[in-house]
Amino acid sequence: MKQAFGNPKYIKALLTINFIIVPCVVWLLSQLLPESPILLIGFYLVLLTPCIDYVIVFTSLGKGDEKLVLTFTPILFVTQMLLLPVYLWLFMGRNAAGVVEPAPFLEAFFGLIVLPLSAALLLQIAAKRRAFGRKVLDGSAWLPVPLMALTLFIVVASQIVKLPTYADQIMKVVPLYIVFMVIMPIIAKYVAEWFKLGAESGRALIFSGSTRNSLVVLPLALALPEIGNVVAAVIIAQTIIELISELVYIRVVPAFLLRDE
Amino acid sequence: MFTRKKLENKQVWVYMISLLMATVFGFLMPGYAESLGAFISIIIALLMYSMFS
Repeated sequence: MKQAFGNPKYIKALLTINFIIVPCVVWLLSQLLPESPILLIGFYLVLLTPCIDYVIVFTSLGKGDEKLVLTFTPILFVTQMLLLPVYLWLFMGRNAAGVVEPAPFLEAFFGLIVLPLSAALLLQIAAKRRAFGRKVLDGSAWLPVPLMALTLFIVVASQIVKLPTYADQIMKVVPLYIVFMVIMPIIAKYVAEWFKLGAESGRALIFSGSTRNSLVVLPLALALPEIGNVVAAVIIAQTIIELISELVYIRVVPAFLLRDE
Repeated sequence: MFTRKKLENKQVWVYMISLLMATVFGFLMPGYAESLGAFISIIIALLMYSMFS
């Protein structure tokens, strides 16, 4: 946390891009979608929430400052959960009120943020006192990679069968996802220049601004009564496009978009 | 030796393989695959814990 506030330029740039610029871009793109609350809610849920998981890996591979991304993860996480209902209300008005209930949001907030964060903190305190705590902590250090792989496996395996069923709806959002993945890094590059970030933190900003799909929105989507399955399919389509885009980013961003001075 | 560093260096490939396996499994055994959906929230909570610690 101390580190986080030691870099005020980056945090200002990060909050500007994720919570002002991206929502504007998403809103503009959504004007091209048909007036369907189902499509819109999936589109908004997945694009308005900055990634807080694999973005760290891809930033590091794309020669960005991944420690910066990691440090700001909790802040991004809490901010997106607080602002998402606000954006949904702003963009969808009364439609959102009918579709999105506060209960699943609160459940996700406690189950997926407060609980894991307190468990991690308690263990860190325990680790300072007892050998057992240290052992658990050493073991935990191994967990992120296999758990990320397992999460992707479970999420994709359980949802992918639905994609052909909802192909009509998905084909309407896919072109917009691709446009987003193409224009966002370019916009982020100018934001990085505007805030006078260095090359490494600039690349971190590009990755954070362009990488969406906070995994926590999927349980939120699935909790929606009746339309949960379609919305989840709209979200999973973005996950797949994004992962392919990241493979392009890790080469293009450091080599062409934002090179070392 | 198989170290944590090595696993972390190769992680993108681990994810891509996992994604590919999920696609194959999802289409070949849709019944079993769909029942995995019940674990989504639990696995995400565990992932969050591992990243916070």
